[in-house]
Amino acid sequence: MKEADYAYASAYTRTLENKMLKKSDIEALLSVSSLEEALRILSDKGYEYSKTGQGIDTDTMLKEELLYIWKEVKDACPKDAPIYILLYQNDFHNLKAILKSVFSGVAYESLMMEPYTISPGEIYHAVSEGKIENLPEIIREPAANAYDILARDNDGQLAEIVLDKALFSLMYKAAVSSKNDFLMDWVDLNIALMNMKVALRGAYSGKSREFLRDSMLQCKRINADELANASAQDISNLLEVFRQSGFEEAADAARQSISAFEKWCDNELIRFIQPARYITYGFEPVFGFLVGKQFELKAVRMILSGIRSKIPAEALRERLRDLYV
Amino acid sequence: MNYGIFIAFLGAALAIGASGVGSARGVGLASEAAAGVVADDPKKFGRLLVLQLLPGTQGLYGFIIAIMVMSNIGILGGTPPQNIATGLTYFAACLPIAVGGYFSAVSQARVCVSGVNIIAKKPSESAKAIVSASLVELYALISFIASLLLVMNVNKVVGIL
Repeated sequence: MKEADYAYASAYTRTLENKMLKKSDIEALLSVSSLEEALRILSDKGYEYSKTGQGIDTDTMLKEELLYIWKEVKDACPKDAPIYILLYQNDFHNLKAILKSVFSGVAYESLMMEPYTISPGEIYHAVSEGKIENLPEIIREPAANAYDILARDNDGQLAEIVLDKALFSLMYKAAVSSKNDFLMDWVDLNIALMNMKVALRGAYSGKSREFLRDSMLQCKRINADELANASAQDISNLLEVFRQSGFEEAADAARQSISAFEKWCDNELIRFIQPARYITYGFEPVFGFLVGKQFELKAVRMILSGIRSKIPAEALRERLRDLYV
Repeated sequence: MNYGIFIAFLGAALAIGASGVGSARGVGLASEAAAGVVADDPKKFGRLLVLQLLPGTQGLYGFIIAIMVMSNIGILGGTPPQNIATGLTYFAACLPIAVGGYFSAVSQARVCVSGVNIIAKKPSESAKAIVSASLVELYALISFIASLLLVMNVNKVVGIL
């Protein structure tokens, strides 16, 4: 992967970055009193929406914005650009939702995330007919393991952990094969955050050391064995491991609440990709833009649903994550 | 056999070849980046054009030096070098623009791509982007003037030798 191969894509994403929401736009969105007003602000920033008989479909607007961005960036990038790593998260989310749907009988269609590398229809047919071997190789084995767990023990939490672990293993393998240090480091950070989340939830729910260790992957930032040991003891030991590993802010956030900790995790991912904005050209600014856009769309979704539910701006502001630009 | 003319000829080829490759890479990179911006906003093409062209000057400098050498060594005029020492002197005179031209074009391209990014974000700051890229041009110019003076004074050096 040569950085010069991304000269066009990097410059193109700079132009798209111009249209991203800034802090001032978010403040403007938080200060509006109606959904229509919020949509006017978004429309000025390039979001397109249409009114239907049932009102304004903001979910479709956000979905179409994400699909548009993905198409534009994908077309601008070299064919072998490892941006698809981000889509694995959607594939695994869709697999989880379909497994739950098959075992509980609820509809899965509205829960699907786009874009993806494997069609949800393909996953559904394979899972619902019990023909897991028909699934693409990248999800075949984890899907079979999760399917067995759900069929045997109906343990949704364990199935989810098995799939999360498989997802990050897959992302790490893809990052290593891309030979891009930035991407490898980004996946490593994701694994560290996943381990910390598992450890924190485990500490609150009293999971065994073995269960916790099996749920984690080894990474460079934080020792998984130490996390599992500390988590199996008590929360203060776990927070001490966070601090000793250089995650003081994470320990402070975790002491407040799980949601404060999750906000810290998201902000840590944003802080990691932000320096990519200052790289002249290469894979990094393109990847950073895609991750940043996903966070922007999450923020918009949160604000719009907050406006609909008449949640006070202050409460929304507290929940919002940092932005890429 | 007179190797002098061959070595001088090699110098001329290197002057135009190396600086030309550097410029081709530079213009290619800057143009690729500029295309990314134009794809979204074609109105910015005019501002971007200077940044696309700047890494191309090194190839032109190399071409001028090669023409000068060929005008002196009996290809387009002048007299062929009589010995290897004269040929090597012409070869040495071509090195500044060959080496300096190649590396300055590639480095300038990086600055030009940064300039393209500036124009993508803040079109009103395009002058600053062009000035920054022009700073690298200074070293391409120094290489060109060095080669020019050296080629013009080859006979003096040969006289001393």
